[in-house]
Amino acid sequence: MITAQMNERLTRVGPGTPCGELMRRYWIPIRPYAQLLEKPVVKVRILGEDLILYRNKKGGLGLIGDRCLHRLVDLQYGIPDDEGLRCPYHGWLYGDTGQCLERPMEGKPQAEIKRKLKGYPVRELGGLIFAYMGPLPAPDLARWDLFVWPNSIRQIGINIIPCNWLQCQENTGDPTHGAYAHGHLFEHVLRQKGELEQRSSDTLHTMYQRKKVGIGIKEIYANQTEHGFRKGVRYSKALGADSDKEQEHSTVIFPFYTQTGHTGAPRSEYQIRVPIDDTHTYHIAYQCYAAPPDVEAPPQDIVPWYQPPLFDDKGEPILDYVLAQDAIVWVAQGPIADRTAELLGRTDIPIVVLRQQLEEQIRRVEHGLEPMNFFHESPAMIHPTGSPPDYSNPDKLNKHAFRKYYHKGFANDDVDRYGPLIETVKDLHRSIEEFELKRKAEHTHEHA
Amino acid sequence: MPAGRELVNSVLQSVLDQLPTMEVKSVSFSPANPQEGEDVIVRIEVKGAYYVLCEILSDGRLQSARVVES
Repeated sequence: MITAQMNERLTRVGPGTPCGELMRRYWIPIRPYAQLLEKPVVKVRILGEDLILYRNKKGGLGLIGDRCLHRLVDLQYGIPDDEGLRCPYHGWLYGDTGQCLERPMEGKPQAEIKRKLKGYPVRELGGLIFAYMGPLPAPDLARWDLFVWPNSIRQIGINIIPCNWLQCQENTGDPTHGAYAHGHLFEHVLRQKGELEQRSSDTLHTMYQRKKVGIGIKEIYANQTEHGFRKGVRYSKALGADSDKEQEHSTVIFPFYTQTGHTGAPRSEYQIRVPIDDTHTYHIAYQCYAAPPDVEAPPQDIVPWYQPPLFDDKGEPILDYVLAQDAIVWVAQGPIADRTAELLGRTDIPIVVLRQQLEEQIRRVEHGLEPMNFFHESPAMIHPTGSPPDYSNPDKLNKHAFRKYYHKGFANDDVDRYGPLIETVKDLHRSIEEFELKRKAEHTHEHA
Repeated sequence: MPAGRELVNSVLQSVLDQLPTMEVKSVSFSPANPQEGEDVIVRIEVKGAYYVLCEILSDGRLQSARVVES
């Protein structure tokens, strides 16, 4: 357990709060770029601030305060102009810094008004729009590798989760939750739906892999790294595991990312937990499907986005895919989990490290220092797992083997099944498998 | 008490406070009396068949933690 004061400190994200000030040192992904192509003016709430994201008629992006200075009209109904966004009521025009550039019908010359709206820098990378809401000058936008990895296709799943961001992120610091949330719960749900045999006839099914997570644990570890932390489990055959082995789990990228699957794998993903406010999280499932050097991924101009359902038509939670299983337990902890009442055990050691790291970085900002992953100049590509992919060992690229076989039905276990690219992804996985089989056959022939 | 040890104790207390289900039997430090600027490995023996290792850096960072079956 932690104190009520510490719980507030780690969870609250509004302006002036310790964690909110930390978050404001980062470029924050706020919307898929493709969404602005469909609708050029979007209301967003980030870190407890209500803002308007727009794309002007020349294609430039802006993120400004949500209320016109004139009559306080909500600018989500604004009109994109060449230079900015006009209020729909009397046409006041705002530029990307939030400055009012023109007040129609107010006569000329116009005296400059001293008040302005908030205006935050925005940039696009990898199909996402990022905002920087902290003190200037802004750091460089971090080029995490999945955003820029070549020979890949991508899609972006978006959900609004009604709970505090830290619950979602702590799930990442919890390597053993998979045994129940993605194993036994999965089995229970499939049995109830009458789909257990149909959905899990192959032992490659994630449910079987995950149920083993809790068996034969010798050691649970978490190590801070340059960009976040790594954690995992070491297993012992003597304790009941099927072999002595180590399983590293998803990589935590500070402050609110996690990466599942290796970069360059047929399927890898950033799960990004952006705080909307203290009790809501904008969850981004950023999926990247990479082809090895000898297979060509289809061309992609725009990264599409989608909104996967978490509830069915009757309002019941959908629990037969991995992200939905996570989401339901995050929300079920309450709007802001009361960590003064919890009882952590030995499997929660990585969560303790995650919280400690967060507190350490909050303290750095309080002392006027730059926090982790604050880049004055980002490298062209940052590998949060520490190294680029090793294509000579394709079996090790994907931590969960089923995620390279979406064409064999395993897409059903992941949120990706709702994505607009899923059929293209299945074709890509089929091509990758054919290539790997061919290469394996050639290798066998050479050594025969 | 040296500043280094105070910092280590403070981090250690924070870790233990978060894990109330662990019943601590003993705590040992390596080095035994850390000075300012020294990193420390803390071994926490707990009731049950396991122990906890924490690596605490001289600046107070919890660099790593692991729970190990004895």
